[in-house]
Amino acid sequence: MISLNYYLLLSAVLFSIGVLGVLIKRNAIIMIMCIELMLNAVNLSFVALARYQNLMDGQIVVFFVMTVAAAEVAVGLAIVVAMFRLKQTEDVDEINLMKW
Amino acid sequence: MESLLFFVLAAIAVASALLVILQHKPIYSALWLVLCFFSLSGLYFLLHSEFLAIMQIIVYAGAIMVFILFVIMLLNLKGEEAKERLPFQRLIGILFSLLLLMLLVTASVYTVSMSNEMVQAGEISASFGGVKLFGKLLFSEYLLPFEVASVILLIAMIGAVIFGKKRIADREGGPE
Repeated sequence: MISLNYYLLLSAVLFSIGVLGVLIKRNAIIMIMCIELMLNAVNLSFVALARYQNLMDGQIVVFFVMTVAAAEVAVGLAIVVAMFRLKQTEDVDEINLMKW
Repeated sequence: MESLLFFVLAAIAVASALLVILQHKPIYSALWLVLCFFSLSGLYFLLHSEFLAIMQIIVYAGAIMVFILFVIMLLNLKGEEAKERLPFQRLIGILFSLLLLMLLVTASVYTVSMSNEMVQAGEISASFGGVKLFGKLLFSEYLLPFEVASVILLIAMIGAVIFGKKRIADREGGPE
């Protein structure tokens, strides 16, 4: 049986990779995908803790995280499409209409 | 056997997650992300969360990633890597995500070492992670969050339709 530590370490590594992607990528769609990766890393630690505590509550939380992730992707991609129609780009550095 | 399966799935998950951020074209990132979601689903099976493992494949790999792939297809992106606006952006990003990784690893190892009974999994009931117990909890203890989630989905649907619709109304010259 695997120790809980390994699941939490894997979750931490996946979360850091997601953060790295958001920090170094300038493509809006890849940034949304990295946010999904971070949500999945957190889901993994919820599921692992639910298993090791023998409580179902963690799995319920993961269910709601999946719901919110679906809503977030729908709105986020709609924003990306609207942004692309306005500027013909998906580079977030180009989207500076509200900046100055 | 179980630990071997864990390490294989974990290696696939980490490698495909790294490939997501190393690709230049969004379409390859999306395909690697699908592989990452599948290996996470395998890890959920290892953790006796069968319902969530199936939901992971249906919702993430099936719905969300297909949606992202559709948007990539419709937008007809050029796929060129933009030049760096911020100086040292890549270097600073790697530095800060490494710092975050160290923080998370320290916190999780410290937390687990505080209580010993958490580290090894005990015996679980046969219904753990099954759809029956899941539904029972969802409709009794977590009824209010469940209803709120449906409202969130409705709002997201309306928002996405409004974002997609506005420009068409502008082009036809009619009122919004």
